[in-house]
Order: sequence, then C-alpha cells, then structure tokens
Amino acid sequence: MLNYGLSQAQWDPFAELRQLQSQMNRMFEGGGRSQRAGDGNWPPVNMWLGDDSVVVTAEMPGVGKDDIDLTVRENTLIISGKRNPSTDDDDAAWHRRERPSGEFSRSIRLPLRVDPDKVEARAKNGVLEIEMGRPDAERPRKIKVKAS
Amino acid sequence: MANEVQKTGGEVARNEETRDMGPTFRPATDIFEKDDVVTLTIDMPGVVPDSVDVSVENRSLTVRGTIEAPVPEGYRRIYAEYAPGTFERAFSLPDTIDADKIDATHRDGVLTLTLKKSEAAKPKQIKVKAA
Repeated sequence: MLNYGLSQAQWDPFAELRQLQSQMNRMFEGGGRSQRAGDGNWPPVNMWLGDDSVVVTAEMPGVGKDDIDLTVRENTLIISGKRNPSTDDDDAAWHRRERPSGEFSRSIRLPLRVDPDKVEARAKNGVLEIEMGRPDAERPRKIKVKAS
Repeated sequence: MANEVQKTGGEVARNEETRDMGPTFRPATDIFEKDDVVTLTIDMPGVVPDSVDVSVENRSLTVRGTIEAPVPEGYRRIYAEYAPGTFERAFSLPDTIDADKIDATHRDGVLTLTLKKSEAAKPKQIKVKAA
C-alpha cells in the first residue's frame, strides 16, 4: 500500500477508503469463515495431493475429537459432526455471536479413489488433517519395455 | 460491553509492516455476559497456544496469533479455502471491567477470555439507617 511518505498521524482519506474496501471484501468473500455451520460449506478445507495419497485439512476450532464423524467412500469424503455453542446458558446475555454452531456435514470430492483402510486423521489446535491413500490395485505401475 | 475498537488509518500501516506474515484475519468472536463475568470466545484455528498474544493497553484489549499451517511433507496444494496468516482483533474494555483480572485459555483452536467486572461496578445494596 502506498503511503506517500505521510506520517501515520496525518489524516489520509484514501487510507480510510482502502480500509473500508478491504473490510467490504472480507465481508463478501467470507474467507471460508461463514456464520452458519449447517450450510454445507463448513468447515473450510484445503486439499493436498501426493503421489499415491491425498490430504484434506479442515479448520474446525472448538470441535472435539469425539464430535467429528468421518466417512470415506470411493472418491468422496464426508466430514460431519456437531459444534457446541459458546454457552448453553439461557440466562447469558449475548453481545456478539459470530461463531457458527450446530450440526454440520460437508461432502468433499477427492481427485482419486481412496482405500477406507488407508485413512488416518489427526486433530491439532482446531485443525483436522485427514490423510487418505489410494487402493494398492489402483497405484500407477511402471511397465518395463522388453527388448525383443 | 467490550465493543470493538474502531480503527482509522492504523490498520493500513500495520498491514504494511507485517506483510511477511501473510494476511491478517479477523477471528470470529462470541461475547456473552453472565452475572459478573464477560466471556469472549475467539476462533483461532491453527494457532499454537504458546504463540497467542493477549495484551491490554489504554483499555484496549488486543488478541493476536500466528497461524501455523505446515505443508504436509511430500504434498502439493491443489485446493484452498483458507490461508495461513495472522489472526488479530482489538476490543475496547468498558470501565466496568477489571483489566487486571483477565483469564485466558486456549483449547482446540479456540481462545477463551474471561473478564470480571470490577468491584466498584458491582451493584451494591445501601442500607437505610433509621434516623
């Protein structure tokens, strides 16, 4: 961002404009941080491809290991579960409520078929990592060319 | 109660300084009050508990945490909905909050701050003495 050498103390109307713009962008793009858990887009995921396996990482803060259900079938991964609200207390007065809660289920299409026996899932600091391997029979094989 | 600080040009300047740390995200936050306690629940997935920074300055409460998102070894990214960067958000503390009694815990990527109302702000019963 250009600053034109102005000190921070000086009022820059364009800085405020840019800030407003970035706030609007953030509001619309959502960055995967949507407000509802049950709309099929939660949790936000990243996908990583290896030689014979695929990794899906999902940002799901506040969801305990026991509240996560994973289903793998052919080339589909389903992450489902329940996210508890910050408080169940009806007497609590809410000042701000932005974190999605409730039941969620998200179906993710994988770029390859995976073997349900080759699935490993780890949760750390609110990020779930699911590593899935391709069935042995479907691994690409090298075919040797024989001399005739 | 614990309103968000309205920022002016400062945010732009800070983004410039922290460009190497990636983009800055505003973490989703719940704030609720019960009895004499105000609780802030802040989503910070991928942030290591030790790296969470909670500071109070001039009645402004700032939380900051760097997202640690290591690339799985031997993999390349083919699809992304979230990115590494920094979570940061500031809240202004009302006078009724005791800034010295803020408790912070971090679990499963969620930062929970417990704020207590100061003794002076609690409702008091005043006894009427007989003249």
